[in-house]
Amino acid sequence: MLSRVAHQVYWLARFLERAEDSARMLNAYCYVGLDLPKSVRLQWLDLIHITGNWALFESRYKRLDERNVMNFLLADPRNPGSVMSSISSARENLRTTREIFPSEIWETLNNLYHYSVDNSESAIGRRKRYDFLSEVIYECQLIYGILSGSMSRDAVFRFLTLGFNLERIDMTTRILDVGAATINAQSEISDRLKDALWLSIVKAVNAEQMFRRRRLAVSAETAIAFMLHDEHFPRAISRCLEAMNTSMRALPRRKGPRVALQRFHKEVDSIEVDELFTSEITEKLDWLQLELAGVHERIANTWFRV
Amino acid sequence: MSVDWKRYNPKGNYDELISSPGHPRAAARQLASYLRSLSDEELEEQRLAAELAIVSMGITFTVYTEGQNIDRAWPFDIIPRVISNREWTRIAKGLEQRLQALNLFIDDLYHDQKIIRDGILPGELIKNSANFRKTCIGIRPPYGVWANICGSDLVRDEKGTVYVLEDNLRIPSGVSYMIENRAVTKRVLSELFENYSILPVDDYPARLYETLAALSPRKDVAPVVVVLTPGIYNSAYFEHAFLAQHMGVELVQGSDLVVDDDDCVYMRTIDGLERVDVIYRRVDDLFLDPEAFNPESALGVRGLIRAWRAGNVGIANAPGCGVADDKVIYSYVPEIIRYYLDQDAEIPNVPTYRCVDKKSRKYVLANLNKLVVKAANESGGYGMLVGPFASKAERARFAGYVEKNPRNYIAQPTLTLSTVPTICDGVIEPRHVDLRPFILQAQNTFVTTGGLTRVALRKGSLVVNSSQGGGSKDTWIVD
Repeated sequence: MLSRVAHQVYWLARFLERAEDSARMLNAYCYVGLDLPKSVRLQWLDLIHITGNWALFESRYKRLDERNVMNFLLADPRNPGSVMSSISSARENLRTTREIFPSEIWETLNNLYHYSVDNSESAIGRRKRYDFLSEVIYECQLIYGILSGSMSRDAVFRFLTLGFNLERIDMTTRILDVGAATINAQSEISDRLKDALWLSIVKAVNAEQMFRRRRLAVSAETAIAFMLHDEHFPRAISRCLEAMNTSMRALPRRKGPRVALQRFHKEVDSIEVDELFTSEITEKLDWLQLELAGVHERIANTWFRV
Repeated sequence: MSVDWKRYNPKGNYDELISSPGHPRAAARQLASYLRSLSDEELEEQRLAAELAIVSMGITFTVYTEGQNIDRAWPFDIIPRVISNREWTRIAKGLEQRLQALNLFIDDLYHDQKIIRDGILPGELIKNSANFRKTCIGIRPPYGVWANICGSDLVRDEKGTVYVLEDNLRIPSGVSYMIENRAVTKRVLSELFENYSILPVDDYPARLYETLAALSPRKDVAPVVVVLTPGIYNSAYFEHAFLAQHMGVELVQGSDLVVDDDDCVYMRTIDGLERVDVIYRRVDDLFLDPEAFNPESALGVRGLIRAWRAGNVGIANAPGCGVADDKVIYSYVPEIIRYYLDQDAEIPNVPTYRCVDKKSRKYVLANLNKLVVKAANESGGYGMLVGPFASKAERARFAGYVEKNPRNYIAQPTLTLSTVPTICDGVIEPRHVDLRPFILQAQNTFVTTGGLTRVALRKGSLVVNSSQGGGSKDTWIVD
């Protein structure tokens, strides 16, 4: 398999996952907003922090308000992390590798792209936002479904798996990080409301049902521990790492990336959520993000930069 | 109301299927009666079925307009063009003869230039040729063959004589559509395949692979063959991907390849660097290697020509082979065949006036309204004047070009190309066609069974290029 193709396939998966996860996050965040008492306002700044793009936002917009934040995160073509940009980047990656995928993938992604071009701006306002985000999530899931149902489990699929899971881990750590930082900073809200907010974060990573079935009471600790360590839930970090490990095992020249991945996995395992203060948790999560970037670098250096 | 062949009138043209109103040619008889048996609705259904098949099979071509690349569905007419195998066998022989002679000619040009020394061809033609590459002098590609893949355009005049209109020796395209057209026809006209013996066309990718594999410098290992594309923005990208897929080889871009200190070519894969033995390049000469040609080129591979010269990689077509793909050189092909093979050309050339010749130039300038004028090195229907259809201003503009740079222009009488029945807005009417067969040469020679028939969809038009409103048809060679 050509390095260039592997690189494009990996990023195709990352962009698709990023589009879906961002849509989920925005949906959940806006949903939470409706539950807050009037005295507490949503911190739109948090959303910008999750995507790590404060400097870009500041240079593009004068006011930090809902409209600008939504425009920046949903539709702005100059924000490489916006839902719209993620979708069009995924499409560009697929354009050049079309011949290795079933044709339905191209048709579906193309539909999603045209739908987003037509609708992303109208979703900046609240009324149509939910519909837009739900459609994006749905189409991404559709593509994911076609891929799992029709692709041979060969090198192409392994690079897809690496891309999907690495991006998922990245987004999950960001969401948890910002969630922990902001919810606990709200001194004027009750513990009960805080738990409700944690539930919405669990929702943001699509984990509500699976979390409930573990019969866990919702709190910062249980939610974070679940998302870090659950071995069965496909969006939990441990589970994602296991999927990456399985894919790597069948790739050539895997030694470097596997060592990095295993080291990262150990770090995740060693976090004992119960024994940490919230401030320590956010520090840990920040640090995990840096480490994850290291795993990505090893992948890129080994297989993409030959 | 079904098709009434008595009312189908090719007028003064040679029609490939119907010799005169109501009389199909022998090879087309069954096809004509099948079409007659269809009602208008059934015919429309078949047409729509073909259109759907083309969309669902994803057969596209790319047009560059208004700064954007657009993939368009491949334009296709379901009524095939039929040629008897007896006639085709003769044509195929002529095509092989032509390519063999042209390859001997190119090899001579890059070595002793005997043909010039013997006074058959004026040396200035080569000195002024835009496609003669000094870098290639003295190189001897495998079997002495430079053009491994050739697409020659054939046309038939009103008397039924087949001529070669031009030889595309650089990076001819269209062969994937020849194969896809057959696949579509099999879907929509499958009934006809029961009684006709229509010779298959889909062995081309296998033959192409053999031709390419024969160029491998390493005889002890299975050769690693790749297709080199300029990328998705190229109008023939569909074909590049198609051929790579059907040969089971990698489709690479310049950035995927690297020439190492050992002067061998490698591709960058997830396993590390892998040696490449043969490159089927679909990139123009001048963009192949920034070290040897255009230093600005981002499409090419630095050092590729060095590796080729060292004999470490096969390149098809060989760089420099375009010297014979020049419309002035074309006019010498009958002499070239006689000189190298001591034979008469099996397929004639279209009579050609060389504007560089003073007497011819005078005639051309005086008769621009009757002639087709072509630039020596353009392709795709560009740089061309079709005199009878051109405005006064266009003719004046071309007269200026010819006087300024006569070496770069030739003129030919405007041929009335043959026609084939074609569905136009629900009615079957005659439309002009040409034919592009593909010829392969390395150790062995191979000619496609038929080729790509291109059809000018506008009434009376002679322009068949898909970038300019042309369509295509399946081509049947029948026993």
